Amino acid sequence: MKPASFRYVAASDVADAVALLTEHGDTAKLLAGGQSLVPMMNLRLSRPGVLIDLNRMPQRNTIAVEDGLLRVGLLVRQKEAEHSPIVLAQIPLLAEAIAEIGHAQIRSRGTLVGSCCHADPAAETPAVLLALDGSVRVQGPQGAREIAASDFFLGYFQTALAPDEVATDLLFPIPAQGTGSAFLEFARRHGDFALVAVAALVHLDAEGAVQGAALSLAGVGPSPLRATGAEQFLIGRRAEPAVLLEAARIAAQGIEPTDDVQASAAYRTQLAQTLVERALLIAASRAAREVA
Amino acid sequence: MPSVKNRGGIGDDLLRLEDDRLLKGQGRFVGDMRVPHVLELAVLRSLHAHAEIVSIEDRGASALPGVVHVVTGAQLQEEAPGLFALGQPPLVAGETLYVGQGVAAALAEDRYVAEDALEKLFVRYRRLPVLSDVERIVEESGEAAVTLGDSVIGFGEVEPLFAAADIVLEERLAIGRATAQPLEGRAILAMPEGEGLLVYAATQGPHGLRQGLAKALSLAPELVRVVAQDVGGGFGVKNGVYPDDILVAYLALKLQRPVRFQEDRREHFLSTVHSRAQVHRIRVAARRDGTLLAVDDDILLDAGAYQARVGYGRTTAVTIPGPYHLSAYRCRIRDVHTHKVPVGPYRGAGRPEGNFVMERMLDALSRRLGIDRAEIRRRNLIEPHEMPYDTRIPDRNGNGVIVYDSGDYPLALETALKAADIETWRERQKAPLPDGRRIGVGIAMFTEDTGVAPFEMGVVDLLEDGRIRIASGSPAQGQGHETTFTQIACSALSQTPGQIVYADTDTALVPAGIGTFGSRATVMAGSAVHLACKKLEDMVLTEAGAILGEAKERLSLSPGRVDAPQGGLQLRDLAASIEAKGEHLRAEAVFRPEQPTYADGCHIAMVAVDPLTGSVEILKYIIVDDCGNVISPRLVDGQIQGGLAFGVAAALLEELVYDNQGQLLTGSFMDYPLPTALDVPAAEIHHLCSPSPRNPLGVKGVGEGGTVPALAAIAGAVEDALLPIGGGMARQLPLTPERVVRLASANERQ
Amino acid sequence: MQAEDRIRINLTVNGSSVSQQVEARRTLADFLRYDLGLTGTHTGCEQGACGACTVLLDGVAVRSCLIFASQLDGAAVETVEGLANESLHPLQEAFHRHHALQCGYCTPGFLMAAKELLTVNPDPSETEIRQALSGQICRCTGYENIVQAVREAADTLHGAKGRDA
Repeated sequence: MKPASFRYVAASDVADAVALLTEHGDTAKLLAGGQSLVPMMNLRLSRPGVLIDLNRMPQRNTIAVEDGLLRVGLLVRQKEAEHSPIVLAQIPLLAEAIAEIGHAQIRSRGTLVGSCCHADPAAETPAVLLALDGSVRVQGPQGAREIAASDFFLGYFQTALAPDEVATDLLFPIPAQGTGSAFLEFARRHGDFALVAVAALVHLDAEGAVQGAALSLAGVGPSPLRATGAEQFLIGRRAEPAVLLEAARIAAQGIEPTDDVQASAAYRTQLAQTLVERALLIAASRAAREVA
Repeated sequence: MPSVKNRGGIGDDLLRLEDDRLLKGQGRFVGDMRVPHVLELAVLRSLHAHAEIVSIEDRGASALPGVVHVVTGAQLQEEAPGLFALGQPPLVAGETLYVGQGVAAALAEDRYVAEDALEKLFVRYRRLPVLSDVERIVEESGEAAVTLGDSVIGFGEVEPLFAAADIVLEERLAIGRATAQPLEGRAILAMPEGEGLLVYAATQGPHGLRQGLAKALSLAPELVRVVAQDVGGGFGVKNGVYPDDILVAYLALKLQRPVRFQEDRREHFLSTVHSRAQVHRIRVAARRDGTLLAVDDDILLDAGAYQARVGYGRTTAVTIPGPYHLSAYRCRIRDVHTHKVPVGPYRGAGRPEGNFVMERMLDALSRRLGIDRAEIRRRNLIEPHEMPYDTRIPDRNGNGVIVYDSGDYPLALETALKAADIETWRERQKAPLPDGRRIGVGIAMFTEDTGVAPFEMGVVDLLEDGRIRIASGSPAQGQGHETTFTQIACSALSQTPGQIVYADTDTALVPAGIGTFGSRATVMAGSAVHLACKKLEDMVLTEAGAILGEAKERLSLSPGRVDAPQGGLQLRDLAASIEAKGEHLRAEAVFRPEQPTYADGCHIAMVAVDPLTGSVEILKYIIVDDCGNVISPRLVDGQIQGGLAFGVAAALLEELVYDNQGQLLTGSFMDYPLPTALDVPAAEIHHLCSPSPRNPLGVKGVGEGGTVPALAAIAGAVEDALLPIGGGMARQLPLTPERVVRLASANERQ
Repeated sequence: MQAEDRIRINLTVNGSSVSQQVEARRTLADFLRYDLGLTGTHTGCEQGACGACTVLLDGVAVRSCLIFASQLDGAAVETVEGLANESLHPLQEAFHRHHALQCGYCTPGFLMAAKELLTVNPDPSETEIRQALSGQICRCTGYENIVQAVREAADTLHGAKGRDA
C-alpha cells in the first residue's frame, strides 16, 4: 500500500519543531528514523496531515558522557550507538540491547529516542532506559524538562510526552564499577519483536553478595516493567544459581502478560522466568569478573 | 539418454545464462515495464469474512484528479454479467465470502491516487455467520457439512487388517494454513491490441491464463496473447486465473487503455491462494515386528471460500503410502468450505502433508515397538528389484493405478544414514549440551510424483542467423529454464550455449502449453524441447543434404555447423538459403507421457532443542535425492536447498492464524515469519541416479523434493530431542517455540 | 519553513545529479522506479520487513520503502544499477558464480546490503554474513549460496585491496 497525502516540512532545529507542532496541532507527526512510523503510514493506519522531518537538524547526533550520565541525542541512529566506543565502554548493556533491534538495515535509520517515543511494549531501548533509572529530556513551548523513564512509558504506544513537545535526549545513568549486565531476548526469529526481553544489572560487593540489582522486562505488559520484587529479593544474597532461580520465579510471578496470536500468557510467563534466570547468571558472572 | 558432447550440454556444470540482467537490475518483471498511459488498478477488499454488501457509496472517488474509472461489483455485474459466470467473481456483487475479496476497484494514473479513491468508497456490510474451524464445522454438521470436494481413494480392504493387527495406532495430526509469499506479488498488465489483448503476466501457466481470460471475456483464445517474462517466484500460487486478472483484462478492453495490477504484500496475504491447512485422523495397522499392514486416513482440508484449483488433498492422499509396502489403504478427503481465502497448490502441493503424516506414524510405531526409526523404515521399504512397482493406488485422474518407475529406496536410506554419521549423533544425544539443549535426530523418506500430466509442447526454430531458438509452454519463475533447456538443446543438437536462443513463454509462439508446477518443467517441457530439437535436427540435415548432395545419414551437427564427410556448411548459411526460398524451419513436438515419474530420497535432520524456550536450531541436514539424470547440477542443488527453506518454514515458522470471525491475525511479514539466512541450514546434498524410463531424458522432477520430507524430518528430530525428558509426539505444525515447550512437558513417556 | 505537498529535491543517484519536484508522500523506492525509471530496486512488502528495496543512502544500507523522496535533498543514493561499470562488481560476479539468485527479484536488495556489509566489515565470518543479511528475505535460494557468494566477494575485494597496498 501507499501512504495517504501529507505536507512535508523539515524542522531547522528543536525550537522550530516545537513551533511547527504548535502550529499544526494534532495533524502533525514527527519523523525521525521512520522505521516504525512509515510502515504505519504506508498501510494508511497513520495519516498525518503534516510530517515534520527532524533529520535535518544539526548537532543532534551526540553521544556523550555528562555528569555520570550517558546522553544520546535525538538523531543518534541505533547502529551508531551499537558500535559507539563510548556506549560499549560505559553501558555495554545498551549496545547488547540494540543489537537485538530489527535488522542492520533498520538500525541504520532507526533512532533510540524515536524508539522510546514510539513506546512499543516489546521494544529494547525503553527496557534498558527503565532498568537504568534513566530519563527522557523533552522540550516544549515552555522550555525543557526531564521525565523519568518510570513516568514516561504509560502504556501501549503511549508516553508522557505532551503533543507539543519534542524528545531531545535520552539520559542513561552509568552503572557503578562492579556492575555486570546482560540483555537477553527471545523472538521467533532474530530481528523480530521480542516475545520477552530482559535487561539485568547486578552489582556485587567484594564478598560476592548482591549490593544492587535492576531487572526490567519488555513484551510482558503494556509497557516495560521493573521486577522490583525480584530486585529486592536479591539484595544482600549471594549470586548463586538457586538464588537467581528464585529471583526469576519472583519476577515471573510479578507479571501479567496477555494472550495474543504470537504467544499465550502462560508461555510468556515461562519465557520470562527462563530469560530472567539466564540474564542474571550472565550479569552476575560479569559482575564477579568486574569485582575480581 | 543423449551423450554429452559439448561444454554446456546435459550434466555440465554451467553457470546460469539468465543471471546477467537480473544482477544488473535490468530484470523485466511486469512492474518494471514502462508503459505509456498505463492505468494502475487498486482493489477495495472486503473487511468481513461473510457479509452481504448492502451498498457502496462513492463520496468523491470518481471525482479525484487522476482517477479514470471506479467500478463496484454490482455495477460490473450489470454491465458485464458474463464475467460472473465462472467460479469466483471478479468483484463481489452480493455476498463476500472472505476477508480480502474484491468488492470495488479504482483505476488511476498512479497507484497512490487509485488507493486514495478506494478510501472514498463507503461500503455498508450486513454481517453473516462465519465458518472458520473445520473440525468444529464437521463436529456440528457431520455429513451435512458443506464441502467443495469429498472423495475416497484406496485399495484393498483395510478393516479386516485393522481387526487382525498386533498394533493399531491412531493419531490426530495437523498442518497449519500457509501462504507462498513469492517476493514479487501477482502482477498482470493488459494492453489492447487489435480486437483483443496483449497480456504480460507473472504467471506459471500462460496458456491457462489465456484460456480463462478468453472465456470470461467471450473472446476467441487467439485474440488473447499472454507472455510470461521474468517472474519473481511462483511456488504454485501464480497459476490459474484470479479475479483481479479478469478485472484487468476487462477494463483494458473496455477503456482501450493499458491496465496493470500489482499485488502488494497485504493483498497477497488476503487474496492469493493459501495452502496446506489439513487435519488428519490417521490409523495405522502393523505387526509386532514393525511390518505395516494398512493405513486409514480421514483428511479435513480447510478449503476456504471457493474451490480455486484442482484439489491438492487428493495429491496428499496418493502421497501417503510413499516408499513403503502396504496391504490395504483408504483415505477420505473432504475440502471443507470456510470463510477464508481459497486454498490451492503450493510448493509440494499436498505432498509434504501426506509425507508428514505417514512418516510421523512410522516414528510413532518405532516408539511403540522400540524399533529404531531407521530400522522400522528399512523393514517396510519397496525393494529395487520390485521396480516398476504397482502400488495399487488409483492415480490422480482415477483412470489407472500408480506404478513407480524406478528408484532404490533402501540405498537412499543407507546413503543418508552413512552421510549423517548417525551412530555418532546417537551417542552425542545421550547427554544434554552444556547449555541445557537436547539433540534430536529425525529421518524421513519420500516418493513424489513429478512431471504430472497431461502434456507439454516444445517449439524450436532455426533462426535466420543460424542460431536455434527454443521455447515451451512452461515459463520460469526462478528455476533457470533458460539454462536447463539450453543444455538440453545443446546435447540434442550438438551445439554450444551461444548457438541457442531461449524465448520466454509466449502463447503467440507456443500454440499449447500447461505450465510450470508440480516439479514438471524439466520432465515435461524439457522432454518436449528435446523431441522438438531432434525433429529440427532431422529437418536441418535433410535440407543440408539437399544442398551438399549428401545422404542425411552421413551428415551431423556440430556447433554452428553441419558436418559432412567432405566439408559441410555453416548453419547460418543454411538458414540464409532456406529463408531466401521464403521458407523457415520450425519443429514442434508434444510430450505426452502415460504416467508421471517418481522421484525419491531421504532427509535426516539433526537439531538442538531448548526445552525451556522452545527454540530449535538445525545443526546439520542431510539430503539424499534421486531425481534421475541431472541436467544442470548446480540448479538442481539450488532447487533442493531452496525447497528445504520451505520445509523449515512449514515445520517451525509459518502459520496463518484466523480468528473465529474469519479475520486473519497474521497478515504481514511482522507476524508471519518467513525463514531468514539465520534459519535455513546448508543442506549436505547427495545424489542417487535412477533414470526414469518414462521420458527421453531419463529425468525426474526436483522442484519439490527439497520440501516434501523436510516437515517430517524436522518434526521427528524435535520430538526425538525431547523423548528423554518425557516429551510428547509432535502432532501439529508448525512447531512454534510455544508448541515445542508444551511438547517438552507433555509427559507422554511410555 | 512552510509545509508543502510538493518538494523540489536535488540529489545524486548513482553519481548523476537529479533535480526533481516530488510529491511529499512519494517513497524513495517509487521515486527510483517510476520517476527515474531505475526499476532494479524492487518492493516486496512496503513495510520494511523484506529488504527487497534496500539501497545505499549516503553509503548506508536503508529500506527505500521507508524513506520519502522529499527527505532527500542533498543526498547521495546508490542503487543496483550503479554497481557494475564495464564489468560486473565482484559481488555480482560472485552471485553469478555461486548460483546465489533464482528468480532475481530480491537480488538487488541483497547486493546493496552486502555491499555495505563488506565496506564496514571487509572480512566477515559466515555467521556475520548471515546476521547482516537476516533482514533480507529470499524465497527461492535457501540462502546458502548467497552466503558463499558474499564470502567469496569479500576475498576478491580484500585480495584486490591487499594487492593494491
